[in-house]
Amino acid sequence: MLPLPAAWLGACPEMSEGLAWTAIGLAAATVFALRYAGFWVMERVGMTPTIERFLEKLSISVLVAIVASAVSAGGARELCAVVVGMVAMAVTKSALLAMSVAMCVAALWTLALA
Amino acid sequence: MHMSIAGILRGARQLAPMSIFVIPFGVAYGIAAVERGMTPVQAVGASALTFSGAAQFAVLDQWDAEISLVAVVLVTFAVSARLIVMGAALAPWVNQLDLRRRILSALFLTDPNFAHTHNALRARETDLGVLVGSGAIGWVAWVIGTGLGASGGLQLVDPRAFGIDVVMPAFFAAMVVPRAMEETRHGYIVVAALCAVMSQPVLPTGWNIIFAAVAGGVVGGLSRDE
Repeated sequence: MLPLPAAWLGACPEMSEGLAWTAIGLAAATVFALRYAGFWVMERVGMTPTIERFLEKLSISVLVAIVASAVSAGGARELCAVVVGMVAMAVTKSALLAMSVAMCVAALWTLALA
Repeated sequence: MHMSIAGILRGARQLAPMSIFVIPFGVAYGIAAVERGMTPVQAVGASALTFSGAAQFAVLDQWDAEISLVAVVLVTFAVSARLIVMGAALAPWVNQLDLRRRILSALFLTDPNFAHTHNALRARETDLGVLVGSGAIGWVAWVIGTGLGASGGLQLVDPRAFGIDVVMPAFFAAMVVPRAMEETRHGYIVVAALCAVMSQPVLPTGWNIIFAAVAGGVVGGLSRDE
């Protein structure tokens, strides 16, 4: 968190119902703004072939980044499950099957070490 | 590009099996929220209004009588900023719709329905109802799960025992496979993965994903497939 003085951060003395709902409402509004922001920005940027290529690769990269972070936060069990799931996807083209296979691998791994 | 009820129902049906696995995560949030001092109504309200596990757990981390509203906004922004990236990637399709339907498209945007819909759109899907429906079914599961957890009626099982914890990464990895198979150059995928892993200990939560996504996007965007 940024080292801002407490007064700037609007610290409040006690958690009332009103404060709780204000916090929930602010978080919800922030997430919605982020959900809409990508559309809004791209409407103003305008499409060129380069930007289109960038967005195309960006869309895969963000998923790769999520998977890589999850696997590295986990370990061999998660890596093994995800890789087996990817092979299942490559062979069968079924995401549901890929998820099921990955689950089985992870569950068996946990069971084997229990 | 259009948006129809039929498309919404199709999207909901397509991601319904996966959404079942969202319920245990909702239960975990519901239990954690009540333990942290939220009322069950507040916990369910937070899930219904925010619909973002990352953001909600981050806010929960701040939850006490001295909660700082500015910190709530900053933390929420930090852990959810990758939604901007996903919105930008969907923009070429979504921005063909009118404002009302664009807002509807944004309402349920999360990682799973982004991954599913982006693949569907590239496979010539023309109905953005799929984005809304596949998001809404996840929302239903998330809210039901939170309610079950917050009401205290459920014992939390260890998700690792059933491998439930790997469902999400396995789903995202599965969504990458067909796209990677139709390409000839995969250097940018390696760049994205390495950047995500190597920056994870250094960057605040969530920002390593954005950094890695943009790095992969730039490297991939600058290289030529043929």
